[in-house]
Amino acid sequence: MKKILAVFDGLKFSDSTLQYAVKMGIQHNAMITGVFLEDMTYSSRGIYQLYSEKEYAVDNVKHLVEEDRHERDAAVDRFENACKDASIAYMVHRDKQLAVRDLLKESRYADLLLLDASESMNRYTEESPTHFVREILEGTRCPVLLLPRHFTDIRRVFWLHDGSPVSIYAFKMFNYLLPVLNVLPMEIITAHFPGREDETVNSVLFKELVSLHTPHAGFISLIGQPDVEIPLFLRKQDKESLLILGAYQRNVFSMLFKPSMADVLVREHQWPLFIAHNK
Amino acid sequence: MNSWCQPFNGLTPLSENLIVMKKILYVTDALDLHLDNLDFAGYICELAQSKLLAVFLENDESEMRTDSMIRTAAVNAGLNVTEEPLSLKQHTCDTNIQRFKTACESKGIDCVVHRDRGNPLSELILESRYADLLLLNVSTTFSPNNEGTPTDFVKDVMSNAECPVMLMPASFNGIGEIVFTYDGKPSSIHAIKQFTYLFPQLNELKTVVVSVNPEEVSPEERYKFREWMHAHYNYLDFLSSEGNVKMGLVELLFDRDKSIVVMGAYGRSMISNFLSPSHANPVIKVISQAVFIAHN
Repeated sequence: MKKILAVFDGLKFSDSTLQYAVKMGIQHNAMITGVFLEDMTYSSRGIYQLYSEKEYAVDNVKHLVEEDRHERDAAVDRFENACKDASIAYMVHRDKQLAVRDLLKESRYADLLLLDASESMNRYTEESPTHFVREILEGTRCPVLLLPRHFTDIRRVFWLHDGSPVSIYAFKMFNYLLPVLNVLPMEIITAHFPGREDETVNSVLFKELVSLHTPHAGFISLIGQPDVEIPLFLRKQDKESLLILGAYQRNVFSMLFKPSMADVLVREHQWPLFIAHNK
Repeated sequence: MNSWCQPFNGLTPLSENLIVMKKILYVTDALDLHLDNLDFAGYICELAQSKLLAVFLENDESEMRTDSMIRTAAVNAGLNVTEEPLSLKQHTCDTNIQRFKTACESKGIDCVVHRDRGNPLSELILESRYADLLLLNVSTTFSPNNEGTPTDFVKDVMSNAECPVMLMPASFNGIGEIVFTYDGKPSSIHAIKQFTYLFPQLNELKTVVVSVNPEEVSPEERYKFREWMHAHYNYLDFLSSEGNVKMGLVELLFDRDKSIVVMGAYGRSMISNFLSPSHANPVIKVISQAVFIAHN
């Protein structure tokens, strides 16, 4: 039985995460651990709302803290009820420490981590990928399924392959972890500038691996700049697709000059992204 | 019940017994074929429901071995030594591939052969990128010198391979248990996970987790580790010892029989120690088991 972590912010509960988690639980016979990060430094209100010069200020703060606690309890209840309804194995971890560090530790002993791509673990709205999501992607010890804002059933898989070892690693991990999705139609997408095709994609070794793991896979080769052409192509496809991506960690230089493919795709909030790296 | 709790998109739920075909490579020096490993390789392939892909490393570009070594290899392959060294080597490789195919056929193993003629290490690392597991003989070497086991070649493969490596046992009579070595470090967890993902069918087997000085890992972390292990394996046992890591491991692994030992990077250096050339050392017995190594 696989162990899947589903990460929740009790104050901004993600329905999408809950729906994907339950589905994964049924489909893969997995145990879902709901991780509720309840960082003490994070409340639903700003410091000025808590601040008051009136005499009963302390009571007021207590009241607001109480409200947050109720909301967090309600979120845990929703998760528990959904798991019970679907009769899947589940656990709840409520974590009061610093959110990111604890989650990364938890990921060591998990097979997959589900996370809403817009999760920020603070009360501000940030551009995706948020700092929180970035930190998770860089430090995680298990593959991550980054989820869109709205749940859609997965009926198709696209592997965005750039020829790198980490991209192949992600493909292998996808096959190991989610074998049920492995029977879905799958396309391997590569993109290159005209005349600069990556030969590894046509190599016998590569084809051999694909033919064993996903004999039904098709190949799509796009011409042009990958981080432009691939999103363009994907926007024309059905929404009900999952994307497999390698690398999130890249060297500092390339990070400065252009956002990674993952960043570009995360911003679209359209597809679940399966991201794995082995460092 | 909400709509998303329904079974969906025509997929059968429950992945436990759904096996994805794996790409398993049987690696051998084209001049030095050990057919006694084949039972083990066949077992692994059957377990993973996969073909056996044999990689014959021919080492044509950088052959350092002497003519007399090639002649010995030819004799071992059952050839008469009357040819020029160059054509003799070619002939020996061809004969070994034929011997391998015949042996596979007689054991009912479905096999495919790759002939890699370039530098053995770089050829193999490239192969490993596109593979799920390498099966390797612990004494594989392309050096003209006499080496202890594991050879430098095997050590290089262990540290550079892009997929897990399994050192094959010398003799094989079934697998009775899985032994995981755990030290709380990321690489040991990585190795345990990779093994579990490759062979999910082994979850009914007796499973032993051995650790030296387990208190060095925080209780909270040990708890989470156990939680993960219990989710994946049904018959678990935890063993530990105190003190020196090397001696402790030897003690814990010494008397085991018919096991696969799974190790992370603690593995790599440990293996070199286990296999120290002194044959009198009883530790060598450990390596008569299959050893699975993965690093990240």
